Amino acid sequence: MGALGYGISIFKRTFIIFVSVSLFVGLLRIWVKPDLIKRLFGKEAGLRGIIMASFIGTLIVGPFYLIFPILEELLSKGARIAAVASIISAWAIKTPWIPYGAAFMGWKFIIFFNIGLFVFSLMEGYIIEGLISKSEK
Amino acid sequence: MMIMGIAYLILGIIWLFFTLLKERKNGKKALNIALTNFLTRLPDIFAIFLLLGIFNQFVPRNIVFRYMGNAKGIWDHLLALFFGSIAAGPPATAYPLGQGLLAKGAAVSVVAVFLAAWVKVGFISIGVEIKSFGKEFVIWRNIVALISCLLIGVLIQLLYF
Repeated sequence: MGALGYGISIFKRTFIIFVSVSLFVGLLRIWVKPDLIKRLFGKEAGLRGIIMASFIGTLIVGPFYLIFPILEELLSKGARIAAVASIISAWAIKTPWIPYGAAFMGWKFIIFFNIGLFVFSLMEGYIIEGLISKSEK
Repeated sequence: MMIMGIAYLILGIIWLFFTLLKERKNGKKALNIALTNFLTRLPDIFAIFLLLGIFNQFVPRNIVFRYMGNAKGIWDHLLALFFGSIAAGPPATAYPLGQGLLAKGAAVSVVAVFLAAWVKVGFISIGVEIKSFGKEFVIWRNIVALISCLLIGVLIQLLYF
């Protein structure tokens, strides 16, 4: 049946990516030094770190079960919450899909839509970090 | 989609190979971590697989169209927020849907909110998100994201005046 075939193809896809996730988590744990992460995405990176985080967010391609575990690794190595939040927010942009989106929604919509997403991703990092630290008091 | 998966897998395997050659001990450690991670998260992947399948079956386009064709009011924006959040699928599905909604008369702001929520807020992904970042982070991030979606909708609408 069509539904079963569809289910199997989803499973194949998720499984393959899932194996990759586990590999990347293990390899990142070994290779990526906390110093590097702290320098790039820690508090001391300041605004530049957040901008870079958002920029990287626009570039990453993959489903959430790939992206989230990798970001979790970054967080554990010293990335600040604002950076991770900005990456997730900017990940909404999905750059390779922009031309596709433009085909359906028009370039005017797509360009401003994604500019909006990007600008908001910068702000959201700080806002979320602030909200979390406020509620921890 | 499969191509991406295979590409990542090849990348991972090559990287692992390289690691085992250059840093034998660390390479084995990486493999160990990978295996533990894999087994720990295996239940998740079945859950995701189930959810994706279910949502794809039971939230068909018809429902979205019926509720949101010709959508203009505040309530419609909230509906758009809701449907975008629970959507399970790649942008490949979202954009044609957006165009269809526009064609049926939905306001640009409503479609913008819908698409923004689709990419920003994840109902399906929330389980994995909480496992990775903790409940507090996830709650705040999604609340902020929802508000952003509404604001983006407003801003896009201004574009079209």
